Amino acid sequence: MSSMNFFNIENEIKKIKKELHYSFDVCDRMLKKENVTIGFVYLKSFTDNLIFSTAIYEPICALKENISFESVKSAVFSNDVKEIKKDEMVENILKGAVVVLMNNATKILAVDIQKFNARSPSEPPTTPVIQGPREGFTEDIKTNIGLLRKRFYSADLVLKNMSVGRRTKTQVVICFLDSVVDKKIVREVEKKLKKIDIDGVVDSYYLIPFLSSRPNSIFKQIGNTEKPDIVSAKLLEGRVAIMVDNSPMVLTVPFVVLEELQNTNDYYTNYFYATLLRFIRLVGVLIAVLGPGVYIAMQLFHYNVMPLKYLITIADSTQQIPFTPFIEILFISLLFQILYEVSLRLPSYLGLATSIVGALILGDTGVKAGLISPPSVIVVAIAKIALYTVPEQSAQITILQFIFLLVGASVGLLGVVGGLIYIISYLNSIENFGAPYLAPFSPFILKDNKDGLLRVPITSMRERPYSFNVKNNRRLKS
Amino acid sequence: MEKLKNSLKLFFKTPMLLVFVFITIFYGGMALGKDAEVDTYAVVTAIGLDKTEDGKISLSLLTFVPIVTQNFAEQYEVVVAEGQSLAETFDFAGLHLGREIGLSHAKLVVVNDDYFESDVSVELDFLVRNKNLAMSTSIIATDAKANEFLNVIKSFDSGTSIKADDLLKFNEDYIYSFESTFESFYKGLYSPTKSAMVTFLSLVGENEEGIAIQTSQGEQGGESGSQQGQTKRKILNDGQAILCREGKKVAQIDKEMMKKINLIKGNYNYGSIVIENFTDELFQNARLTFEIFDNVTTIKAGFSNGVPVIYLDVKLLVKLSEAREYDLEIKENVDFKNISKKAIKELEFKVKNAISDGVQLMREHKCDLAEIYTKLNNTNPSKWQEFQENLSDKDEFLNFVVFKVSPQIFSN
Amino acid sequence: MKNDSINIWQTGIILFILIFANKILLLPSLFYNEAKVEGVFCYLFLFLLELFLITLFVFLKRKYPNSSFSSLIREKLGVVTLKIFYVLFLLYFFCKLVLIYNITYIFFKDLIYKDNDAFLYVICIFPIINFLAVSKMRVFGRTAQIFFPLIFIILLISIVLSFIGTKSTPLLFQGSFSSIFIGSFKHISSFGDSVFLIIFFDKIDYKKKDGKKLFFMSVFAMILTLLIVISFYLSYTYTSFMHPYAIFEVLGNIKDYGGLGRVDVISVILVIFLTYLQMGLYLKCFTESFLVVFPKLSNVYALVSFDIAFFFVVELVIRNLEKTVLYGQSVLPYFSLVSFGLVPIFSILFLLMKKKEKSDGKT
Repeated sequence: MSSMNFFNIENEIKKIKKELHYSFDVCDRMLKKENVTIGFVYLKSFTDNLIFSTAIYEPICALKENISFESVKSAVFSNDVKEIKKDEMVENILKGAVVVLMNNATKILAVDIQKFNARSPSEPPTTPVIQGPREGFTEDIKTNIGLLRKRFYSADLVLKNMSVGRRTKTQVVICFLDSVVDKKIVREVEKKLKKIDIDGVVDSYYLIPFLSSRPNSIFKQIGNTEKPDIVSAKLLEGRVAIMVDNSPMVLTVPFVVLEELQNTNDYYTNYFYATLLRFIRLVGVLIAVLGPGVYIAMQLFHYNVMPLKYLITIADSTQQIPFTPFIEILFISLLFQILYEVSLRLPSYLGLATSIVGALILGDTGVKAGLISPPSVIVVAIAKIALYTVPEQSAQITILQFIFLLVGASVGLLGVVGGLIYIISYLNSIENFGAPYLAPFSPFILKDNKDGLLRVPITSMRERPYSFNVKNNRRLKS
Repeated sequence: MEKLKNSLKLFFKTPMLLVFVFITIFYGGMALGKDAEVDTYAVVTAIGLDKTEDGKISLSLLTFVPIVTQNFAEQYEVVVAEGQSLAETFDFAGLHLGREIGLSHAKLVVVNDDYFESDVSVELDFLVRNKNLAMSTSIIATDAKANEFLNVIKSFDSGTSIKADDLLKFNEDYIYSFESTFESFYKGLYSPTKSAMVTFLSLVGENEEGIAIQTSQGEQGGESGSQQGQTKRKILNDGQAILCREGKKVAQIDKEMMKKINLIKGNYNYGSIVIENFTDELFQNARLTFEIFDNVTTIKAGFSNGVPVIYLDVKLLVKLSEAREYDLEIKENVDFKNISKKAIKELEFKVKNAISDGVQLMREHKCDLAEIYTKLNNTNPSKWQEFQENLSDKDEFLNFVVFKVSPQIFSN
Repeated sequence: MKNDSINIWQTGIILFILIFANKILLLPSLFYNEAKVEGVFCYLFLFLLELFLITLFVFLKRKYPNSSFSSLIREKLGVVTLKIFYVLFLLYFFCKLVLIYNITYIFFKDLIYKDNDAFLYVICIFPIINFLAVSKMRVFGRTAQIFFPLIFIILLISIVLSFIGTKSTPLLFQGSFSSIFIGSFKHISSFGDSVFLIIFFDKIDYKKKDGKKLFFMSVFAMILTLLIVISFYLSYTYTSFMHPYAIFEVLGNIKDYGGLGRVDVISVILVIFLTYLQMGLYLKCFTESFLVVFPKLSNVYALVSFDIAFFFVVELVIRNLEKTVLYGQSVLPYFSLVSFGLVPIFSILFLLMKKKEKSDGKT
């Protein structure tokens, strides 16, 4: 009976290897000492030789008498030593642990000495700051958790571990502040994550459609950031962060569209200037979305409401153009979009060349050759530049820009305003984790507008957002 | 049933997509081939109305012609069309231009003086109602042909920076106290007294005197219909206006008369009063010129024994700006600030005279230019009604209204 | 039901928009035709009636905070009354939509769509108002709320600018009392917008002192409307009848404001916004009434039947100003008896009935 419980190490190793399809990086070692055979199974790709020998092999060799499971367990050096069951062996090996089997024990030991060369935290290119912390998340979730823990030396920060993906078994960590967050939101996040039955999660973006209430919408409904300071600010507001292994992007919920108008820099500069910047961003978005559409509507339908002086300028400069106004503006928009795509894909040393060709040769010569008119170039250029006042939403704004361009050219101003009303009421119908998408503007929440379009001094932001449910709204105790 | 319901529901859940696709295919497809409206409309900036010798209407349109330039110069053309009715002439003008005529940017309508003597309001009404001309469009009467006038404006518009409507704006602000627009014309026409004023600008020859704006016409020969252009003409602005009653011209009034009417209305803010041969303790046989800084006239209406009385309380702020004594060459050390009581009396007398002249003009042409009717009506409608019923000709009410003028002169 | 409610500010904003919407286009000029400058009193008179309706709503809401108006009628007066009443509502909203549609169609045709066919207007208006009608009341309230600052700013600019253009003294005392009343009755159909409070009776969150907020918003809107009307009469006096589109004209009266040229464009944009929101809400009212009359059908049926019927009616009613005005004056005032007659009668009835029940309970 008793011999049945002990492992036949060679058999077990064979089983493991078979289960792992005899992958070449599966490594096994045997150590015989005083009738005790100890077997190690691990992946070469995850395990450093030196660490293996200093942390596991040498300490076990140094054991003298009565080699037992307990003595081995206490001998190895690792932060993460745990007893596992037989069917957990493969999973642990795949996660980078060294599995230790002994022929005189019924238990199995998994020692995590995984060393993976992660990128060190550097300033993320998506959210550069002028003043403020430059740390960014990396692809390694442990590093990321460390970066977050560093910002909360309190037990209040709760991290919940999950794994998502049938094949990748990606580690997903839900973070929140226990005394602040509304538990309903946490439960909803957990529920939604548990429901996911996908083969693999490559990046945190894979989770977004599963968390959004309207997965097919073009509008972004989940916040994402690469910066630990932003995540900690969001956690302090009562939001929930979702970290995914192998992704530097951390998701935050609930998300309201206002967050895109805000920028980290707003909180690290003068509040008055920050307010000004937010208004400029809003104007930028409006210009980007409506600019070309209104321009084309004016040209095709409503010349009679244009002031005479502008009319003369436009009429003079469009006389020579061989295209109709709509084709012309579509052409310029497409040209810009192509240049943008090219400059994004090309290595940076070629980017300069494309910008020279694009801006100087195509733009200037196009105008001089009489193929495109200066007003159209200006309108499109302003709209396309304004797009990047809110860079995170540039994809959505580009889509809207084209939609409004089409509507403006097709049915004029009535269609543009109608489209605007449609888009706004559509956005109003979106609610994620109990937060209305356009809060705090509609529904209008006065207290939240302190950090809405306005940014009042930190001393006046006494309360957490009311746009979504929070356990404790008091922020600043006076 | 359930299936139909579900499919209908689906349609109403994503109908916007369908609508968008429909718009894109149908209207978007049309938009691809659609020209800019500027290319299908002729942008008219000024309209001229004349009457030909055989009684036809001659319509001149100053239209903006887009040209390919890098410096965005404005080029205009004058188009002439004749016809029995205005609608017909517009059709012809469109035919000549090969474009539809858009009047939404017209700022000016020039009407020949003679045309104003016949009833022009029908034609103007057509412009407003059928052609959507803005009511704030200015009307100008001129003694020359409206067509010629437009040709002169044309050279303004494409050459110098002074535009015709700038001139008009100056007139409206300083010379007249009224706007010379469709709005004011019709307001006058439909008011109980049916009277209105319209700016009068004349065209003079090159060498004639006058406060004129030099134009450089001649480089652009008249093309589409404009036969003038050989002789250089100037626009003369000497503050004249024509007085209309029931839409017809009844009198032409000059600058001096204008001032008198402005005094009644309390709008005499620009100009001066001159006293000749004045003698007092300071001056001897002098000519004094008083500059006017401000004028406030309060008109109060009342009734005494059933007779309407208008109390005109005229306040003038003046400054003695020039004094010339004919006996002396130059009088030095004149303290201009002190004006003697005699001078003030003299001024008051002048003001009274001016107002009585103005009232006389109004009475003569049955034109109520100072909203006297409205004031009387608003003060006491029942008495006013009673008074009117006793009149044989209601339009002649001004003859029976008593004007009481109390001028007050202030000098700084 | 509970999560599809609007708060009192949103209600106020919708009320604000409705009180404005169709009173700043044709009405001032039409009232001038009836009662000259004293047309302002027509406004005052009808606004008082409007306030009376709002007062009734507030009292009703205090007594019956949780039930809907239709359930009240069903309980107290029976299903037949309910059906008849809501069929009348259906017709009323339908007719009102036809009126608004025609007025705005003529406005846009005149000003910005000279060359385009009527179908373009249909394709713009129909989808959007249908969408607004299917979306929840909460969504509509929020949409109105987000556009409110824009609408409000444009209105304020219009009012400020419109007073620049006023120069002449109006001729007073031309309209008599009878002309004021006749004028008011002829155009009563343009008023009575607060009926939507009754239709969405159960979807409005009402707390204790919310009545004040509602009155504030509506009185505020009324004052602004009156300001526009007054500035319109002051700038146009004798020619008021020539200017059909008041809000557009008061701005058009200004010549060359700051080199921008046409400031009147902003009024066109304002009217576009108001048109969509107003028609959207009325269609919502229509749908809501439809669902009361045919409780087993979904709102999709309401919208489809509306769209088909409306399309035909709109095609039949010839689109010109005179006919629209005639339609508004001849047919609609009688339908307005629904909002100004039946609703107050029923409301008062309910208010009294509740009291009776209470006293019964006590004794």
